[in-house]
Amino acid sequence: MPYVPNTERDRDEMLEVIGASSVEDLLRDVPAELRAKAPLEVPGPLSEIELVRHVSELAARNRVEGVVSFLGGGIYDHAVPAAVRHVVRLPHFYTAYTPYQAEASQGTLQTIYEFQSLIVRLTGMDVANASMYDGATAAAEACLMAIDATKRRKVVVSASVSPAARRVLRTMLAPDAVDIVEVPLRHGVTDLAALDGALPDAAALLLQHPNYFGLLEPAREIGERVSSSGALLVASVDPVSLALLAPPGSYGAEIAVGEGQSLGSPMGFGGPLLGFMAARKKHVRRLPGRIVGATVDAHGRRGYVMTLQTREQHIRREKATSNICTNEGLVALTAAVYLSLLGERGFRELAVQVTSKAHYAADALSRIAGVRLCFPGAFFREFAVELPVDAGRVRDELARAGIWPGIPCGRDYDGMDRSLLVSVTETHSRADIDSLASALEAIIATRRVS
Amino acid sequence: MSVLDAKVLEPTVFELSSPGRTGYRLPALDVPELDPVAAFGPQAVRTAPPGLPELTEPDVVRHFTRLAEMNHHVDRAIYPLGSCTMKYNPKVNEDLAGLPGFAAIHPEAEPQFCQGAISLMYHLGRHLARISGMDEVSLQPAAGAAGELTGMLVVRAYHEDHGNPRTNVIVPDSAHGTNPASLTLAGYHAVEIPSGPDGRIDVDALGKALDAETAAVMVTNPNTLGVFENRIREVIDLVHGVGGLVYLDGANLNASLGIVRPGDIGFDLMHYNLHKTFSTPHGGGGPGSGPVGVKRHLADYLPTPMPRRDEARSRGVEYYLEHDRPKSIGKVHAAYGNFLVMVKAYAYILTLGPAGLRRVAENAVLNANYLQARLAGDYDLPQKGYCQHEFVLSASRQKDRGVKALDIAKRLLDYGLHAPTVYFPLIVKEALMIEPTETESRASLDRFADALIEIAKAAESSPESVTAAPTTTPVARLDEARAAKDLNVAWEGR
Amino acid sequence: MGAGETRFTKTHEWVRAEGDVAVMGITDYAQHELGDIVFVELPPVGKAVTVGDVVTTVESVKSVSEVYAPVTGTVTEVNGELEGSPGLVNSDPEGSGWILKLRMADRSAFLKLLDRGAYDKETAK
Repeated sequence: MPYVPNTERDRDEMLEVIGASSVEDLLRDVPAELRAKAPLEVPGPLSEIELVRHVSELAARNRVEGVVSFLGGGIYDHAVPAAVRHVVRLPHFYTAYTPYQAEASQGTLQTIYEFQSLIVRLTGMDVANASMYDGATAAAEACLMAIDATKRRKVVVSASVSPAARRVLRTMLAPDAVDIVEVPLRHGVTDLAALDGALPDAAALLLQHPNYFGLLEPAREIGERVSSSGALLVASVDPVSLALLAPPGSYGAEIAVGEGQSLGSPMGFGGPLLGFMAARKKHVRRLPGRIVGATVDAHGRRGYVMTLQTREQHIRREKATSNICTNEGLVALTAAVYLSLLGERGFRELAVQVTSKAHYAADALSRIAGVRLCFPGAFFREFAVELPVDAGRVRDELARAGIWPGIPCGRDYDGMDRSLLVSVTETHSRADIDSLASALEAIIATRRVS
Repeated sequence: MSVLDAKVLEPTVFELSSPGRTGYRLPALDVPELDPVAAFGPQAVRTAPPGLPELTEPDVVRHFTRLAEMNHHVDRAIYPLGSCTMKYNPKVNEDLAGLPGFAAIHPEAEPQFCQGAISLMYHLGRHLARISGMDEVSLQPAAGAAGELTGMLVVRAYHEDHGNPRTNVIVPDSAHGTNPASLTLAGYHAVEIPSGPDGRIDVDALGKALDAETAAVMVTNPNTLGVFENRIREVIDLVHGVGGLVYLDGANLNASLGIVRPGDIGFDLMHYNLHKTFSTPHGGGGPGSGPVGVKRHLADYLPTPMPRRDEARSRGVEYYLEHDRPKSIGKVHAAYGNFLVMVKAYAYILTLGPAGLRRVAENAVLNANYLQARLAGDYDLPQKGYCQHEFVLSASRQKDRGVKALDIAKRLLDYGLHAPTVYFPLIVKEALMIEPTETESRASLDRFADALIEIAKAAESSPESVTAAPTTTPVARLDEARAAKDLNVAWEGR
Repeated sequence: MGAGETRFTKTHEWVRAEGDVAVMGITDYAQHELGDIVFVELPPVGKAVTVGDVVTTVESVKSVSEVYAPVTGTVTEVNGELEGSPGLVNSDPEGSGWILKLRMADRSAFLKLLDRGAYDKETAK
């Protein structure tokens, strides 16, 4: 019986101590008419060998070998350093629980404190929490914070925020009878004139920078406009971009959120992810989630505890700032280790490589006859290209060559059926990018002839 | 004295930093290097570096290893937190979740290239449905509380579809704090009803609280005192009688596996905690996974996309993600949920099989009753009779000697054991909520019971030895008031 | 029932009338039950409250306590010292740990409150 130590003898001896005749006797409070009538209809049991064989076969049906993928859109294919994987596999971290008894959980608590500190530094804000489920739910909760702070009933969101984040926002704000106003784009970035029209009486503007198309938004101008309107700027940011770009704290954001998967975590078919949330000090009591604080113990030694717990559900219940309990603790640890390992220089180097390779790819693709960049503005790690033929057919043909060129934009944006969002990371070699360009060129040439 | 100047066990990464060090090397850049100022404009770039530490790989590994050593964890000893189900985390499942086919696949991969992933999700959903008597399962919520919120949003969508979203959701006062918090986020008003002294729902009080504005009632069964709600059928019938829905908080499902299927009893929907019942690791606070199971009449409202199977392969693939779901509440996660956590739960179900899952529940109940029997002489028991998979002690006897539940918890740490949950459920004074789980051996249970009994005796003979605890942990009791008043949540030193 | 006399509520607030302004806070009994107070949420000046409304909350590390308006009125002043030193509520609850002042709409509610003797009997129960 896997993982259950009790033998029949143990069971009999324990029943004797309890004073019960059988395990059935212990279950006598469960009325007979409510009991399951048949054994559960699930497969198994499998031995470890059989299990590994079966699950490995499932894994093998996901194509990862011999593929060069340029898929991005919020989840990125970065290399995970071995040391990060090693630390995160320490059972002291992954088999630990929520650090309710601080004296026996200083490992977890200090690593979360370090994560919070790193996020504060990257975003240029004052305070940060221990994590949210992902960047999308973090953005939605940040908008709820803004509604609570301003008491206004409207949230403005740029159409350049990722489609998934906008959908999560609508789902989470649906019960609140709050107006969600979407601002259209101009050349792929937030239309400032339309923004001006939408801002009055807004609680927040949710802005993604760089945006879903990889483009830099006019963050400073937007920050000023949002601030004069009395709304809060919620900036959803790409953490890797923060090695180079001016942080949200410098352009007027009151709350900064984002997706931290790119900080040392595998893509994992989309989860676990890592939402981070940072804010100006005045909002700290409104922050959802756990927060770790530094303090001292009875002997004057530095230590860490969960703090401001009165915001949370286990104390405040229906008046809590959120319902979140379990978050993404181990993924926050992953990010802390990753950022510590890369460090100031390594992280900057990573960002420089990512953006340099993305620009090399954009040049290479836009030089193909009939292919053009969708938008003229500056971009960081990904860009949208328009092809002279339907994007879906190009994807199919490139897939045969083991190349996945990008996410089709037409699925989420009108009039972009021939466009793909192409994302490049430090794991793409020049040769990878060149083969994308030449394969694409060949496909387009064939189509032109036929 | 500033926290920066206090004696330090392990400095922060910032204090260990030394300029010029790095722990990871990238290959040489093989394309022209972009100048950020030229490409983005001087206004858009940083004027000062962020202030990340500078460490080598050995520095980083040593630092985090030293921190790791300061953590109690379930691989070391019992972690009997009530309603947390801290069972053993199987190691093969960690390996399987790390397979490149799972770790390296992007969620936007086309379906024909990720059949393994979609198939696993599909079948995990089917298994959870069959384990619980539900019809459809969404794996998208990333934790139990997210599952509760999703469930409440499904409830709202259902009632809106029937003309009136209604305004209230009823919860017993023994409920976990996430219940009222989640229903509030879903736009409902929490109506709290009293529990009896054994934590069971007061059915008369429920009857009085129910009305046409009741959207749902949230129930935990067994409840948070570890007692089975034997009048649950009455409860469900009463709620259905006013057109309300009954939601099961599945945190305590470990007691029910193979014994009771909530869907069969009449629950309309529920959430599961994969990081409790289904053995996936807690990770110090996540990642978890909180799937939601529903009966057919609620299936259309579940989040999008849903993994589906088409054996005829009319779309060219056997497994696919269904996006076209007009009545869906939308999305509660950026992608499909915590997939790598699902891999572990899937593997766990297959490892145990039907008889194994039932024996999990039986042994969870056996272990809890054994501990309860061993401790009944030295601690007060608020409820009489056998418990399910967990039970609550009250330290009120000890409180009379000046020793509180908190002190007992701290003293357990000195024994190298983790304390149970304290001060929950709220309806028991000086509560200690204990859930050993089925993966604890008798020796481990005895060690825990012996320690608690010794502490009870110490509370009589030398209470200061308990109130001064912990004394053998890396730090002693921490000044939580100071942590709240002099807020320091990010390192400011260099 | 002169001016300056302190009165009490069953929910552990104290009130002192200074003309038509009522100064209030929480009692010594309440601060003792709460433990170390880490935060007092100060309401905005000008806020109107009715007797029995929640006028502010007081937080310790592990709990939040609602503080109820003992009289009907408008907030005229709040104790800014509590922002940096919430512990004043513990050390001097009826003095420098005062929380806020209300301009009373009328004195009738004040006159119905418990005097110190009656309050002490309540807490002794």
